[in-house]
Amino acid sequence: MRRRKRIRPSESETYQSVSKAKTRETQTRAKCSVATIQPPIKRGRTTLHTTHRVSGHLQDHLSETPLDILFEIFSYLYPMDILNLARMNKAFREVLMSRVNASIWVAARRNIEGLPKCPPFLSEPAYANLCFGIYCYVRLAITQSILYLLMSSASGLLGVSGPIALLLAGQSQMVP
Amino acid sequence: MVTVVVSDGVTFTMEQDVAFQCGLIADFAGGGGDQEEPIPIQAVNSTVMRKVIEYCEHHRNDPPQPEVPEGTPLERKDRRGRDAWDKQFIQVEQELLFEIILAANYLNIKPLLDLGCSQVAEMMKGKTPAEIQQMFNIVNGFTADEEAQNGEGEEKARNLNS
Repeated sequence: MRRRKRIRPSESETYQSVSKAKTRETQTRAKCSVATIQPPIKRGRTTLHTTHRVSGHLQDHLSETPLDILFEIFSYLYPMDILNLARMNKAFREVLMSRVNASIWVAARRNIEGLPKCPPFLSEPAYANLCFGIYCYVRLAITQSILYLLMSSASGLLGVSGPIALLLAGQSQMVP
Repeated sequence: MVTVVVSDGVTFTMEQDVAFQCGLIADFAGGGGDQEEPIPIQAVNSTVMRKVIEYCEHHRNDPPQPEVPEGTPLERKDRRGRDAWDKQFIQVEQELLFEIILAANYLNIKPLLDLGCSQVAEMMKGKTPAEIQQMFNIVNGFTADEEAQNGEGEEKARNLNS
């Protein structure tokens, strides 16, 4: 218990300083891997973190890989694969769902030729889920077909999409 | 000729056009003639270095690859200059694969880094979260409560749709 008390304040201090100096954050990000990265303040974080690192006899190479290399790997994936990764593991979800890393989703979206841009009322992950998620079968089919119809017929999708925006907003609640 | 010493003390000697595919060695040697002093490469061991040199020797006569513009769709990205030899070369154990990627990143060999990364991506493609977890031996890190919540969320989504 004593140990924890001593460690915690120093940890939170480092996070504060990191968030203050945003330029430094990009430098440190290149050095850390998913296994070492930690969210600022979370309930029960210490125990979760300790369970992350060791997994039996076999080593978890993917979580130990530096983030910049992981990002390179992600750039060869499609949005549905990124969705699966985000649902796979807590550490991966935190990295993938953070707003800072929206570029991963943009890169994955661009891997599919001709996919319309992300509408401004949806986040990138929500849009990926809308297009490729597997849990919204019926409405997905409807909204997807409307979206594609609109994109193929007119470039002014966002101007005419009032009712569709509502429909899509409903979908966005089902993000991973 | 260029000589390098890797982390476990093994010395490798290679010709300049092979060695200079590694950006790091090219920077080290500075492009000026024969290198007498061996270049220390502490981040790479001899097993990985052997693989890296094998790759560099096979590609010694390749013309430089043009930069792929950002936002190129995947089908076009994958099509460029990847032959059967490359595919065979990268079919290695997972541990070695990740070590090759790290070495390629450290030594600054972009084509090898691309090859390794696309191979890892290939292993993930079209797999379910559970399958990816199993393949890379990843602990999922969700508590039992959160797992249950995830299940409920999916259930709700299904009910809403039906």
